[in-house]
Amino acid sequence: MSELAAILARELAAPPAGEAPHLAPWADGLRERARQDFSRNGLPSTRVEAWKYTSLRGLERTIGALGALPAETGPEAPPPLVDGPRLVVHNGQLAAVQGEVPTGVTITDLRTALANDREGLREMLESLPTDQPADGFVALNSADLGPGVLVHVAAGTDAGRLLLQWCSGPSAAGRLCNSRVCVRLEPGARLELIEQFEGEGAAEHCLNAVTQVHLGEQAELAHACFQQWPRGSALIALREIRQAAASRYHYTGLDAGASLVRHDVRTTLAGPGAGCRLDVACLGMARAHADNHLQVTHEAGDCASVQTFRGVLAGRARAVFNGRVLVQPGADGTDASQSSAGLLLSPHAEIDAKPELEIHADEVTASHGATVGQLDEDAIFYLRSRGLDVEAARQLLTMAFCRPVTDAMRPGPLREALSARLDAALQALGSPHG
Amino acid sequence: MSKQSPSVESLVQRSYRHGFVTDIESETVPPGLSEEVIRLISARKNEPEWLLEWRLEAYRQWQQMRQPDWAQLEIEPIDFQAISYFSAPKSAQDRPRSLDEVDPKLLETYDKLGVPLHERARLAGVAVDAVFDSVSVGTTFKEELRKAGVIFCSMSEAVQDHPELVRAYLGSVVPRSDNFFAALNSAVFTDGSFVYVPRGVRCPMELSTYFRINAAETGQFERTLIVAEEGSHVSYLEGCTAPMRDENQLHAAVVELVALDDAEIKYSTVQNWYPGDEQGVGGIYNFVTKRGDCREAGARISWTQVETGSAITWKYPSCVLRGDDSVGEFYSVALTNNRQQADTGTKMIHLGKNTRSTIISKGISAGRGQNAYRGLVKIGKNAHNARNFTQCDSMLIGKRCGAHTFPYIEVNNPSAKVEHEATTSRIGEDQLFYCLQRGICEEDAVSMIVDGFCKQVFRELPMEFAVEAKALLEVSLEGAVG
Repeated sequence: MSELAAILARELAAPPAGEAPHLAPWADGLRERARQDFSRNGLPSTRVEAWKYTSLRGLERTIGALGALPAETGPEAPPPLVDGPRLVVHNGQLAAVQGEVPTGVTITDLRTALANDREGLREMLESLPTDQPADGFVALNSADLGPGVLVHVAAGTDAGRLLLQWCSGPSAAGRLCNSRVCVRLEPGARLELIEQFEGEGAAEHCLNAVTQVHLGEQAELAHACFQQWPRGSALIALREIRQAAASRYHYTGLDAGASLVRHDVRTTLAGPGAGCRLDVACLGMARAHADNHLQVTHEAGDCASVQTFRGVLAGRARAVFNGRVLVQPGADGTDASQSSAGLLLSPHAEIDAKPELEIHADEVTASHGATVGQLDEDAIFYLRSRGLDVEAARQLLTMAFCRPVTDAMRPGPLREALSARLDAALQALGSPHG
Repeated sequence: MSKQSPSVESLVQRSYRHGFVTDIESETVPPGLSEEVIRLISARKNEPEWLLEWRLEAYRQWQQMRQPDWAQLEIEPIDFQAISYFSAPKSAQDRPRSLDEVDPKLLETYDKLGVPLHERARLAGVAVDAVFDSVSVGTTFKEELRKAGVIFCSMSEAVQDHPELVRAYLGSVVPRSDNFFAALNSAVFTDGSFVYVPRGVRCPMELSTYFRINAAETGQFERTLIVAEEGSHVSYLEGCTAPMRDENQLHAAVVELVALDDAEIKYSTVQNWYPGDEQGVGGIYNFVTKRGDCREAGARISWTQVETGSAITWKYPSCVLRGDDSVGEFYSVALTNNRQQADTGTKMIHLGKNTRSTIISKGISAGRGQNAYRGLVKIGKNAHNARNFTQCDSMLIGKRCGAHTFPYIEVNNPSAKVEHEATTSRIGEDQLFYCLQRGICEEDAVSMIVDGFCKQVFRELPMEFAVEAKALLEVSLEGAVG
């Protein structure tokens, strides 16, 4: 076990006096099991297949303790990406609910929800395994269960937009904060959930966030995530989604900051006719490292899934795309596709792709395409012949390269805001000559 | 589509055609593996001291290693102490000088297998180095090859006659400690083929070896080494069938190819070992390490394989593209029926400038077969303008089979162009329908569609192999579709 894992395991075993939260007994049991799993497995090493390309050595240098002060006066939350009601999560803890939350939507601090044993919460939390060596961060998160938020949308409610702003204060420096977000959409409910990781805060800190989503029949969640944290910070985010029949889930991820990023998005299409779409754009510069794992499990028949990944790397950045489609026996009528493309702008950048298909049913159409390359010289030449200079031509083509990710979103202010951020971030990558 | 016609089912249930055992007295070392057994093997083969040391070192390293478990395979535990590591036909000590001296029963075996040895070999223009269990017994066309300067002999002979070449190249592509099975092979390999093509020589004929596992409980550990000097060209064919039996047999071979400046090696395999019965009982474990090293500029290595047999296949013929402008190719058809499992693919390691590689992999799963493609394309830091194209397609026939794709793509150089595409689907219903309404029966239609599906690979095979491969596929598949 690494030194960092040993420190964290020790802290979990002996929580500071007076801070032990009052939780439902099953939640205490869950925490304890996870703690034991973490003590056994520690944090994943590169010998674990799912972490093959991501070393935590950088994290070991910057992080030395667990948690941070829950409520402190730190920098204000950054300007919101879009208008609407917002939740401010500070150092992993729900700090404020701003704006008017529409009827049918209930927002509860996770500790309160755990203490009151909210309906469906146990089933959701206990469904997440923590015992495998690859699950180190999940085990850590579950062992420290408490900080976070529960969002519940009643059946048939169109809840509109909800913004979740993740911030960190000075006390988070050198620390790893855990947080859990549980989202439950009852049948027919609709929500647009935007996660914003932005702002100054503590540079050298790590957020280990787990988001669990349950979608009822015909429920629809559009989930967008924009991350532009300062260099030095780390984000480990797992999103676990379970979809009932005919539900829709659309994830749009845009990463343009932090030094270490690990995204796991795992959806399970558990009911027939469900569909999901996972689109990720990853922009890396300097020594940034971003590891993206998208996984779709087709449990039920007649479901469709699409995965899109675009990576643009400059400097010594490294991006990993691991897309996985798992079609279980009996999931006939599955239609799954994957596309990943990488663009390397500098001689020291690296991209690793692992687009996997695992298929155990026969009435299936599954495909993937993966490319890594450069901008098309002919296209640059064409643009230059139209009067654009080289820089502008490259810029334009790079933007176009990433566009499939935002273009798949529903038209509206969110798409516009994200597209603008994407273009700005691409420009910040500097001259495409590296 | 989901119903199978009875006649079709009977075809699927057709027993293994090559399931017969030739009754020849074998001299077999008792089961078990120890330094003594290795010393015994080495002594029997009259090997020089350095090779014995090499084997012992490999054995020590093997003892420290764990059997890999990352493949998408379910492997029953293997008792390595229950395997006999040396088996030679009785006549081994008195090696036949010509084919006339070869045991007629042995020749009969080859005859049944359709090996073009003896007269047929001359007519077919194929030189054969036939491996019966672990020791080579007959080689043809040696003289003609010698005239061209090509050395084609068994590994045992090469150790005796060309020790300097063997010593220089053995283990230079697949090191002793490369992986669990390669280490085991290095410790106990009994025979195999050795080919050396001198500078500027184009080998006048296709070289071919038929492997045949015979004695019960005897794992076969071949070691093949092919060295192509500057500007030379050689095409090597490998085909195998094995008799039917109930116990799993381990086959852990190592194949090393070395291509120097502008040399070209083409290595083709048709593998039809006993796959086990419908319940998954018996069958060969085929755990092979094959790797080619394009060591110098402009070298070219091409792997073509048609894998229809074996209970479990674990095999990744790879190319290390070290020399600038070198080229690696991999063409594969892998078929799994009944309870067969295959985890196969390739590695293309681009290290030199302007290196190119092509991967075409076709997987067909039927019955309860599990078929996985696992491949790595790695573009090193200095591999400017490297280019890779990968296509892996899977076809599913039946409800209970599986097709999996695990490609790894690692790109470290911005001037590289890597393309990968993969599809998985069941056999085209509309294509079938079209054939049926044209009056073609279902079986022929399926065979035709599968043939078309595999065409890209078959056309890479030498003519006679292509015919055999096509026939093999038909036999293995007919009726799997209903």
